[in-house]
Amino acid sequence: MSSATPAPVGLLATACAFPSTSRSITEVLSDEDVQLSPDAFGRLGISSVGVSRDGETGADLALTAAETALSAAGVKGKQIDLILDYTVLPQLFLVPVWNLGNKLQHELDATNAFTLGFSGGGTSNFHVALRFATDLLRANEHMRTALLFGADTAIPGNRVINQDEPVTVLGDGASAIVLSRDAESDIVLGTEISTDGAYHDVSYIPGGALNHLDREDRTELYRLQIDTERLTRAPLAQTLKRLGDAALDDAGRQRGDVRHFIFPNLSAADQAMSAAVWGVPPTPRDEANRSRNGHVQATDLVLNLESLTADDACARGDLIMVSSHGLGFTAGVTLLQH
Amino acid sequence: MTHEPHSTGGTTIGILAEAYYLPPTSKDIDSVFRDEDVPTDPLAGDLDFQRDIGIESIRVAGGETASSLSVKAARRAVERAEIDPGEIDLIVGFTSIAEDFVAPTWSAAGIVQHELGATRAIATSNNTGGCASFHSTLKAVCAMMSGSDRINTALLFAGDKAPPLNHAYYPVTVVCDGGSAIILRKNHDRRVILAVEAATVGKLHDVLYAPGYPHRDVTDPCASRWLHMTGDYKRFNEEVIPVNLFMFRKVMRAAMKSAGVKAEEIDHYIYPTFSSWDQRAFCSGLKIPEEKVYTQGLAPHGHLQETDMVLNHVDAEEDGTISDGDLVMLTTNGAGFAWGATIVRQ
Repeated sequence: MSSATPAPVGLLATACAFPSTSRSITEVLSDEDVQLSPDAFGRLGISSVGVSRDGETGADLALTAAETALSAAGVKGKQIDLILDYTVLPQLFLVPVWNLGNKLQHELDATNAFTLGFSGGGTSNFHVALRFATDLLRANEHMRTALLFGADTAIPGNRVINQDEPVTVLGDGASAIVLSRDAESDIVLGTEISTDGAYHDVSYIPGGALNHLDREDRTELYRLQIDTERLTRAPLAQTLKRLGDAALDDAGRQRGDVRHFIFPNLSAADQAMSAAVWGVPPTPRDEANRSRNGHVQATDLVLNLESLTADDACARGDLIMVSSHGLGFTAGVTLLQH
Repeated sequence: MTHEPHSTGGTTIGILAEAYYLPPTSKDIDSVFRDEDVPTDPLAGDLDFQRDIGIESIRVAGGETASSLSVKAARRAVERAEIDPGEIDLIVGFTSIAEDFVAPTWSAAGIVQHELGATRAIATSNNTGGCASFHSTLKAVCAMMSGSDRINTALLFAGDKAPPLNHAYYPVTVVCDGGSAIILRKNHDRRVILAVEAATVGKLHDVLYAPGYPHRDVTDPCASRWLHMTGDYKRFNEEVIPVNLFMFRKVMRAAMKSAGVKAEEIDHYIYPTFSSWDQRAFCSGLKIPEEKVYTQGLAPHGHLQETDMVLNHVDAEEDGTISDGDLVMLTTNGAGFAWGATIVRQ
């Protein structure tokens, strides 16, 4: 709870950008030589994913998403005070020596901004970036507007995670959010985050950085992998429930006040688990997004939020809970008032 | 005159403790030049990189991992703060070079949280700003602390281990391995953060970078070149150098304005230990008396990325250069390109 009444900060606009080409799940499985049982197909619930063309980068998708969001918000590049990156997968060059946020700053002519980016939280990098952005806008009177973005493109040949026991299938895409003290809807009521460092290497890329430099199989190590055994043991549902309750309590709201829930599109099984935490079924909207795009990291949350707010089912003043378990290490819950 | 903490939303936030860790193994600078084939050509005029840099030796981590450097520095900071790690509410890394595993998928914040037993902390890492990540991270953390009654103690850490054969950033500096950590506490009235400013010039994003594994040259006999700091030094000279002092002046003036401090009131400057000529250019270009700039760290360890800010601040306190009540400006630039300035009242 804030020590003083905080200035309202909300989402002026959101946008997503996906590659113009996609591949069916059957094609992706064939590309990566993966056999799936009918049960596994059902658990994933993914029928296709966006796949970038040769030469199309996450940076291109990020720029498209950012320009679309800024245009919708009526915000010029020079009005941006802060750019925050919630990307999860490797970028054009090695992070943290390089960061896409700086390139984006240049391309958007956001010359008055400074950049931040966050690592290690998986999909919950979204909540981390949103929490820092909201607090920075509230703490600094001269800051009014922040641009948040994420751009994720899968490592070639590394869309099915994991191949022996698939947890998800990765699609390419990007998203952007314009956050402002001028917003009148989608107000951020609060963000709760929890991390458990014991799970820091449940979802990671073992090669490509300082460790394992002497391994001859390092090309095989440059792949995202998930330790499903440890992930299964992680208290994902309990953590989401605890954070959601804390966010509601902090905002002075009740569980029954929440009209809409937003989850990542990791898989049908994962959406069902996340929805069960709150005793609701996954919506057809989320199921359609998941089936069409696969898992696009934190962009899932923005996509599902966009679909919701474009829907007549979401009315002014409705309470929206956005949650993600970040594959065990970082979980986050954000409450928005539409 | 009393200066209030303007950049922290009116909330008093002070540095409860700070510490660094340097691995025990030293490497003399001539060995670095030899092993990394550093050119012997003069840089400009009679300036000679090898002769004039002012660095005598560096520390090398050897078998220690980058994250272990962070953990050791963090443990020292926790011991100095005399706190239980369970009191830490927020952990944010600000390492700026290659880590144990690929970011942003992974961050060392989880290891630090786990090793310390800081079970209630939120843990993440900031991955922008280069050496100025210290300032952008500090600004973000102060904002979160001022915005929440439940975030009262924060740990910031960094751990830098240069990839093999990449300690020399010719023609800029030679880098040392090591880690640093600071612990911030709300309502702590020593080493109070009066203001933090950060600025980024994104058009310079690819002047200094590391290519990353997908850009590796499979024919290169060096097994880790994709992790090396790679510079476009023509653009560095033509685009970074001309704006460098302007940007330093911009962030320092903004910090002083925010803190209600005049330039003549700043008692000490903590500035990166890149090279002797860079330190002279900073002083002469901005008309800062050389005796106000702490330069003692240059010879014994060279440049420690973002950790320069912490290490030199710690040493300046411990050797008595900085005293209680002094106003200290910590300022640096970094790849990205970014600049940052922080004013601390001791």
